[in-house]
Amino acid sequence: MTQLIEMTDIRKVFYADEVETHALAGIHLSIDAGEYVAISGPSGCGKSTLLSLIGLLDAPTDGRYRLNGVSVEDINASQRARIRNKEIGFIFQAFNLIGDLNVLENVELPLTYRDGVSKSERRERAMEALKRVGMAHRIRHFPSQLSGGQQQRVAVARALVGEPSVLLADEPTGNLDSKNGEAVMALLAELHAGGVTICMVTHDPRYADFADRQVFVFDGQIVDEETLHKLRQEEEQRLEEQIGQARARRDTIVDHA
Amino acid sequence: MNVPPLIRDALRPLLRRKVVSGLIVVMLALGVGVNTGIFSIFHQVLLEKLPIAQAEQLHALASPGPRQGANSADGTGDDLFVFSYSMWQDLKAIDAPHQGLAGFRNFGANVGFDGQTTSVSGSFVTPNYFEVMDLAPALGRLFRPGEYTEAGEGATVVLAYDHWRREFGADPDVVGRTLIVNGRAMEIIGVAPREFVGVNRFDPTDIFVPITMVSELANMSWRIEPRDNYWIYLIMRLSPEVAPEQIAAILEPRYRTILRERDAPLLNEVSDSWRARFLARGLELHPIGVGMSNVGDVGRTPLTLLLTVTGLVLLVACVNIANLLLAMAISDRGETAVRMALGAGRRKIMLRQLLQLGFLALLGALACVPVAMATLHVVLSLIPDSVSSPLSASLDWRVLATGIGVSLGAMLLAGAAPLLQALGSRPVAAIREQAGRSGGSRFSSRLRSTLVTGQIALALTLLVISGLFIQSLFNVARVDLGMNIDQVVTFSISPARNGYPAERSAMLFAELEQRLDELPGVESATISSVPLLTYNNWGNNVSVEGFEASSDTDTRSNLNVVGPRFFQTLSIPLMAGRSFTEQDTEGRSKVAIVNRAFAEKFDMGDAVIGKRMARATGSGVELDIEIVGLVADARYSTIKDDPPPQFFVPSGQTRGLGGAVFYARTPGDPEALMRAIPPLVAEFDPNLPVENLTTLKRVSRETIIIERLMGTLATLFAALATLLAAAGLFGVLNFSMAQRSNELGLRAALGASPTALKRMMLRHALVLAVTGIVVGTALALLLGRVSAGLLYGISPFEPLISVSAAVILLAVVLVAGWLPARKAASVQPVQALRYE
Ligand SMILES: Nc1ncnc2c1ncn2[C@@H]1O[C@H](COP(=O)(O)OP(=O)(O)OP(=O)(O)O)[C@@H](O)[C@H]1O
Ligand SMILES: [Mg+2]
Repeated sequence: MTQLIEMTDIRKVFYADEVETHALAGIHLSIDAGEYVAISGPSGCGKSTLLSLIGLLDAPTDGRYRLNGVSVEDINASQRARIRNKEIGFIFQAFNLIGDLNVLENVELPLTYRDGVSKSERRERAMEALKRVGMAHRIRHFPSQLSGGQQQRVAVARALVGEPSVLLADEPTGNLDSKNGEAVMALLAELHAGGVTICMVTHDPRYADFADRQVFVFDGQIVDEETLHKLRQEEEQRLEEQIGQARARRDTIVDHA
Repeated sequence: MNVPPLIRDALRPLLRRKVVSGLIVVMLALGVGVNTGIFSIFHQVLLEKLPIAQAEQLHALASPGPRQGANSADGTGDDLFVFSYSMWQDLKAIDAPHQGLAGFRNFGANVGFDGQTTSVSGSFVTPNYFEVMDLAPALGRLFRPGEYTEAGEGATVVLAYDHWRREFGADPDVVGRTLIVNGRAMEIIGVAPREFVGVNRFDPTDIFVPITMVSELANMSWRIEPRDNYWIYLIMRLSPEVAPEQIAAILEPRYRTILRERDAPLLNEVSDSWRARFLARGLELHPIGVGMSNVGDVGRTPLTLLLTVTGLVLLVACVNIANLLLAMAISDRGETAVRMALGAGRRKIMLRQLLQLGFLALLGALACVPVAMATLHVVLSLIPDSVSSPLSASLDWRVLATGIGVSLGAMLLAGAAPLLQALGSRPVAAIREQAGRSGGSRFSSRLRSTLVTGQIALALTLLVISGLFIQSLFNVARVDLGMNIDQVVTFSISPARNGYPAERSAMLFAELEQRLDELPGVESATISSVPLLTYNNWGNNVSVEGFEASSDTDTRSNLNVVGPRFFQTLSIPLMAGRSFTEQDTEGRSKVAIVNRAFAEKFDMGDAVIGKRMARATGSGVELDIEIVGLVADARYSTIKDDPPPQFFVPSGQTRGLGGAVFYARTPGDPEALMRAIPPLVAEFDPNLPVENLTTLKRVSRETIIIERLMGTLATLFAALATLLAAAGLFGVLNFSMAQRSNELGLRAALGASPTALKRMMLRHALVLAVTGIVVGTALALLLGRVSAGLLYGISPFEPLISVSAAVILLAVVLVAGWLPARKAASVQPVQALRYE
């Protein structure tokens, strides 16, 4: 199998108000074509940041990144936009459909940013993608007229329409109830079965099980499952201690009163 | 300070957003200020009442239709407003329910007092004039009804208050003293009340004299006796309960009877149809509560148009303000919803908004005063002193009150949309908004776009209009006058007003012309009876050898009495024959020179020289003048009208000119020559005032005042509107850019390149611009129709101007759209992950 994504010692530092945040601190990650990878970890550990680097939404502070055999860590914004358009499909937690465009127009959107795609071809491919997610009967609807699950399915169609090398999803079920969430997961599984590479961020261990492989992120680094478990327990313990101390302090204050 | 909490609460958001609030106030001040400035002129010229009691009761009489004899009108009103003295007496004698009928006529007077002679404005008035005006003297007495009935009776003067203050230092002992008016000793009997300067405010009267003195004081054809001498303006004060139509209905049949019985028998040689029209002349009453002057008639259309233009500027400003308020309301939306959720009623919300609008309106009204003053000064500096001096450069309280009213109205207009937006916000909306649904403000973003489209349309309209006026001004300035007006100094003198007899005047003219010609620095000098390019006309019916005329043929030609070097001084080419010489004097055979238009009108063909003509018509008229020269056509009374048929006669063969105009061409500095004129004239008579000393160039500039006024102001206002519209567009794009930054980030995530995003924003701007331009072109057509009468040499629909305006606007739109578009291009795609 060919290596689709190859990240070596990727770092990302944010500077905000003279505070340095090391969101990613040396990530090594490879994803093969056709793989289904789930990324999980506690809140604020850097999952979304990692996904945005994989998806070329942002450039790393340091490290090397080869996508489909091409070095992409140092290219300019326009080149990144072109590669993004061709190689990456995004699915967001909040669906991110454009309210002023109807379903069909939303799905056609990535193709409008691609050269040499005629209007009729655009329409044809959008319809095809909508059929794959089972939304072909709602093409004239606006996002506000759809349920959350339907909106996410349209978003999946939009991610698929450009036939990208990889689908990136950041908590695709986060805004959905469990029934709709499961339906979306089933849809992704089906796509994966059809050969699509998927990289998904999720909190939910049930959904992570859909994936071939799980990657755990902790404090901006990838760790294995046991380490994660251990780190988590330590953290919980620390939290409990803190709560206990706070309680004790409160009680003494109450006593004094 | 203890501010009520309601007000404090309402004003806090304004104080928090100082820049936006400041912008609103500035734009309101600009919009309202230019309107107030123009309205101040509009008010003074067209609306301000005469300073007399119940001015609205005053009406001028008019009688349209043909007349014979001498007809003389001035800037007070058209031909149809003048009547004979006898007709005044006849009409006054008719028993009808009105409060009096008076007559007046303004004239130029040279006034001597204590050995000083000045040139002033006089007014011949009927003795009942002041009674009809319902005025009481400020000093002494005024003329009384019933006195001075015979011609030559009443060598008395009433001074205008201002003149009395200015020239006599408000000396109370002036009554009883002697004033020399046009060479005649007159007794000062009183002073008219403050502010009253006669009925024609644009020819303010300095001295009032009885109309019976006309033959002694005016070297004109004006006479008391002849029934066919039409020269007096008649004004009637109506009774409060009587409508003008009622009075006209009573007077008209009696008027026609008078025409039939007394005037018709005096007519000579007319066709039956002409006589019928003469006898059918009607009598109209025109309200003149605001005074009588053709400045009002001439100014009405341009001033109305200017007010429309400034109104559009205000509208553009209002749209900007509306957009800013809307943006404010939108960013306050959450807060408003929370207030509502906490139980604030609609009325409270509305009151709060109204307080904000009122506060901004008040500040805007205050700030508009300097803008209005500046506008007023610009306008006054553009129009000649003769028109502007009666106008006040300060703002009337009524005008200011109007400004404040407009300011409030504008704020309410601009505030309507945000008000609805605030009232329409429901408590639940606040929660829904946060749920991350896009498209919540689709209505308001559409509204903002529509408003900007409207602004662009208005700006285009104004650009087109200003283009038309600039082109028109350009056309007028470029007119081939048929003469060279550069480097020519002009002035006039009126020795007859100083009591010179005709013989002495003629001698003075000839000698002064000679001395002027010999003055160092003068190339050539001449005399002319008609001041050129000042709307003055002098005409005669003529007979021309070989031209058959029936009694209804138009045989009028304009006439000018000129010196030997007239054509040379003004560079009017001689095409055939000869010019006048010093030898063309009284004793020699009478000669004339005609222009080409004259030769054409009277079918003279090629053989012009040697033909004979006469300054009279009718069978058996002796053709006593020989035509000795043919000159090229040159403009006469105006720049805009084609050269009329003209004939010229030599000053050496003309007696009885009471005054004359002089022209002197200099190769040097005209200003230097102008300084040499008063001493030269003083050498002849130190008491002879030099009038209208200026350059011919300046004279010509003053005749195109409307073009210059409209050209300058329309451009100024169009530029202002364009600037405001650009600011508005920038604001809207910037706001929508901020509102859409998430969407833009998403598009970037999906692969839109920075260029694609930039293009998208610019396309948005262009769509607004093109829509606005289409609508604006239609609007411009409408407004162009209105201004058609003011345009010269250009049609109100000029594709080139529309296209230029569109190009200018597109350029402005692109500039205004560039910054927001660049910002759009730099949106970070990673924002898509945080899209909520
Ligand atoms: N633009 C930014 N500027 C500054 N700090 C940032 C920025 N984006 C992310 N961070 C920080 O980087 C760290 C990683 O954030 P990230 O959004 O990747 O977390 P996450 O794992 O996706 O969390 P969650 O599960 O809550 O979505 C956090 O500490 C966050 O505060
Ligand atoms: Mg995240």
